[in-house]
Amino acid sequence: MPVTARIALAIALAIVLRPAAAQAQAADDRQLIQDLLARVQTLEAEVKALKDAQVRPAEAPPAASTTPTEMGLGGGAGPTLEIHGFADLDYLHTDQALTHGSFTLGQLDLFMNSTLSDNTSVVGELVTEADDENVFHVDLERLMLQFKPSDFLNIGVGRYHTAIGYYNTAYHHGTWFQTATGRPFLFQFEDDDGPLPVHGVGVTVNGRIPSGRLGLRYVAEVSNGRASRSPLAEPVQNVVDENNGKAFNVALLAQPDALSGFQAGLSMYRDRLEPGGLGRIQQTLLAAHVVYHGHGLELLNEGFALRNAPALGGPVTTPAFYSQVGKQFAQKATPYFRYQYFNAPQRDLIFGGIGLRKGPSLGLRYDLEPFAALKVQYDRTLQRDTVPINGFATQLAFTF
Amino acid sequence: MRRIAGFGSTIVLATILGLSGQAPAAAQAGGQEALAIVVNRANPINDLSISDLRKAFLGGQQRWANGRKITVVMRPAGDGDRAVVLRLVCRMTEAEFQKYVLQAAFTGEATGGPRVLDTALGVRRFVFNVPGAIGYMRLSEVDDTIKVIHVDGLGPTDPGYRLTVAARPPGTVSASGS
Repeated sequence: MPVTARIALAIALAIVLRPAAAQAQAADDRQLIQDLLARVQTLEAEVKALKDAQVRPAEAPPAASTTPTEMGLGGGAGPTLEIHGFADLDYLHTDQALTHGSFTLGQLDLFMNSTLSDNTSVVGELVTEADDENVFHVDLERLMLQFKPSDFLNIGVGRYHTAIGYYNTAYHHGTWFQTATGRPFLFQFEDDDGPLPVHGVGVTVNGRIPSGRLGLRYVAEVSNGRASRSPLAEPVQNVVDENNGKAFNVALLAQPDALSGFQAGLSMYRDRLEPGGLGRIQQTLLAAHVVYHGHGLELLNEGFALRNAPALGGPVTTPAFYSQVGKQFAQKATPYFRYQYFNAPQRDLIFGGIGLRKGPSLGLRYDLEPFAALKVQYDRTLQRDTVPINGFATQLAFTF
Repeated sequence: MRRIAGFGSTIVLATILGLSGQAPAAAQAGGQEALAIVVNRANPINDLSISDLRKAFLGGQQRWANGRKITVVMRPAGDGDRAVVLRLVCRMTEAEFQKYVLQAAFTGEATGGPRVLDTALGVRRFVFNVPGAIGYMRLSEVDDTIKVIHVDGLGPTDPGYRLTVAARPPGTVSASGS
């Protein structure tokens, strides 16, 4: 278009700037018109030649080779590192004795990924947060080298998010991603007394299963498992395993073509725990989930049977579940409701200390900007033999 | 003077129409123009269902049947054609799509998002050069350096083809630089 405009302008200027021609005889007019037409034809030919040169690159045939662009190696200067930040700022208040309403710095999560080649990539996650003593700590929450030669095989080695249930791999440290202010109790992090081994150090393999429109996927993982000998030990066994027994986790997921945004899945995690003085305990964590995201609707439902079987004594099973529903309005406001339930029998050697925790949460997420949200949430938590706890949380969550 | 000026205007108009003459031909009835799904000419794929297209654009499928990595190329956020692809193919709003892409990278399911190019010319060049590329553009912007594939068995000129956008008014040319 600019070229066309230039042509038009040139013609118009030629006309305007030649007042003498306007007063000339008809023969002169014809000559002028012919000159202008010739000029237009010349310019059209030049434009066509330029466009052809731009549209048809002079490279080899398209199928000749994989280009740097396809491999993600921009400029040929080696791999590039992409960093995203996630953070949250909170105000928390409960009516629990000996607690005070507090402004709280949440996690600062630096998520990094880099493409090394067509098949290989790296993801890392570095989280800075303060503990209950107001002292900051830096944790390497994830470091995984991934090799993905096909849609059917993706091998990850390192520290990863265990594929138990849905919530853990879908949200994890990215507070901005999740609708609510916090994670369901089941998926609390290990160092916040969460019951599940939400991190693993080992190998995770996943991929599609040829299943047509059923959209099946698999996950298989082997890791060091969770530390159990001492309650004071770092729960995630990053460097040293306390025994030779490894933890295994397998999962089967379905994402049918006909139900875009729907996912159902099953997973089973097994580990051998050796808590000090209590002998060996075979732990089996069964999980099932049904979730849906679409049309502004969020439905999350997960159920668990957490079974601990000591060498001496019978197995004990802890039932647990949570359900969450949210609906976004005007692409801004998302009121949501969550109910969660966790009921560990007192005789359970691993979870008995947690006992019963159940109750509703009601909240509103308001997306202030595309990448910043304000959330307010009320929680009521009931526990065995204690008075219910009412909590109020306000959170600013954002990504940058 | 008046006579020459009038004739000059005719020439100007004819020139503009002559240089932008493809658009009216590709426009469909009802003021709609087909949005073509384009791939590299070496790609053996000729037809994709809308659900397969969604998987490709959202990273649910990251390889073609021949093993090539799928590389999606899109126009920038705010572009009308992109909004149509997000609505009809991905079934998402722009905000939902951006969150989805970020979350896919976060979970490790996908690295990076689609390539974003400002112009149809850039998209054509990218698709031409990258064997696993897939993108979209108005049918009037397509040339023979790339391949148009069918969607749910229908080509862009077939009745019932679902991916359409509002045709640009005659005489206007895309700001795409095509």
